[in-house]
Amino acid sequence: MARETDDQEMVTRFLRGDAEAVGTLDGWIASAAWPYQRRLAHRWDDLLQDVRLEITRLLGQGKFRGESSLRTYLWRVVNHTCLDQVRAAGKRQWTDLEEIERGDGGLLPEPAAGRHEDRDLLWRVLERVPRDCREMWRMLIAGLSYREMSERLGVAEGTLRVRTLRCREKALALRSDLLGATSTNRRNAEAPSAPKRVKEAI
Amino acid sequence: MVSHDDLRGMIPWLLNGTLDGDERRQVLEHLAGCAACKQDLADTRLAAEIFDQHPPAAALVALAWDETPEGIDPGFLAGHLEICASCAAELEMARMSRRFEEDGRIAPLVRRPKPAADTPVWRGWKAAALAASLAGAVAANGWFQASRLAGSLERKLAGQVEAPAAGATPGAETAEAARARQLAAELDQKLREVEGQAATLRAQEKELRGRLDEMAQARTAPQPVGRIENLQPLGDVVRGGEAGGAPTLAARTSTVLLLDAAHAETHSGHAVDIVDAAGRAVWSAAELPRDGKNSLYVLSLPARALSAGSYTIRVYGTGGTGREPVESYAIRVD
Repeated sequence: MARETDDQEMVTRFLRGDAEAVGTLDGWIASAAWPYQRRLAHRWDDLLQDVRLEITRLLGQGKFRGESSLRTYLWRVVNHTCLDQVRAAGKRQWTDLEEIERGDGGLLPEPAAGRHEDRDLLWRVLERVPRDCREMWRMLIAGLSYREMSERLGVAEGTLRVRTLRCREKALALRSDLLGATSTNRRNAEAPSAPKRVKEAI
Repeated sequence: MVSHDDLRGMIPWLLNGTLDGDERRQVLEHLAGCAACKQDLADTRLAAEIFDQHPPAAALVALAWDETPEGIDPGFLAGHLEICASCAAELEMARMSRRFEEDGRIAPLVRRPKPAADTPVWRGWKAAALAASLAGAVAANGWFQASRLAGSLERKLAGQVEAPAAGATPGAETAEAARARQLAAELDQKLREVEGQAATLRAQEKELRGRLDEMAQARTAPQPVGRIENLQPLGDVVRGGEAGGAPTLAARTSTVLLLDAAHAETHSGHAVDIVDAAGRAVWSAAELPRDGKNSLYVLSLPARALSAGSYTIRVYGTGGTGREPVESYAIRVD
């Protein structure tokens, strides 16, 4: 109880701009973020500022409810923010396909559901794809040439290309199945006779 | 002539940018006129988006705090971490951060980022060596200038002594000459002081260079061993032996593995592969000495030699009939 009171008092003082409280939390932020320093060295000061802003926002909105200590809560927020930044910094850019799109004056056909796929759906597809397909495509995404992949996997280049294509087809078929199942569920839920779900406030 | 199927098969590598110039040109030319392959390209892009999914950051944070992430199958997540080096590295960073939280005595110093690509260890010494060199150059330049001035003055003095100006009185020449000689002596003294400073700076520069060399050697010098593991062979020497009892090693510490050799020594030599969970050999050695007295093989794993995941160490007997698998050992690295 005493710890919770101390934590709440620290939050109050921090939001008020109390120098000591700000210094304490700043120290925690720097320590928590330290393992990410090497990966984000090029924008370290900006990162710390982003983290401070995020923490200020969360504390200001009363998101810290004392389920853990303030220190642990803050540590986890810092890690979450830093991981997002590491991922954003390392996002792989595929080959610019404008050259292909301009080639004959026409645009590439869009994938069936548009460019912005629901991340949850994609993750559920990935969970269902066989492991060997995931490993193979992970190498491809990592930027290995087909020759390198053929050597590493110990298969002929032609076989590799066929397997890659089959894995692609499996993934897209799973996605279609899940999309179909989602649509069916939505239709059933919207049917007049179906009981309505009450959306709970969070 | 490259077939349609071959060109179609190259589309994923067109997207990841690894086709060579000719292949890329051929595929692009084909795409310009093949609607089916254009659809393939779009589908490949979508498939890449699927396969490039990673567990949410919240899941890694939960794992770092020894919690079960919500909404994700733990087995699938563990499998993903075995094949995804970036997620494994991110989890390790989160775990390290948690260790800092738990041990309040640790207060890591935050270095300010600099644009240079040098490592922090080298940067300070390099800067000091550069400063010493510059100071030496400045001192040497000062010495050179003073030397020129002294030389010029000496020449002037020599000219005045050897050929006193006609009509000058002897007393006046002597006073002027004395003043000039005093000036020369002072300059000479200054020259010696500057030479001394230059010599000191050169000595400091030499010392700094020596330290830089020592640090370079220290990178490859032996390091204290983090831990020692005594491994028993798996019963099944074929790939796929379950690593249920495999010791877990920390990637960040060095480890010496003592591999217990259960089989009778019948080969003239031994070789070793370290194979990852996907069956890929990540390291191999053609000769693995066997300690006959203790029936052991010894392998040293430097810190971070292996990334997080499961591995099998396969030992082969070598000799006249080629390589024959004789032992295998399971380890986990996290």
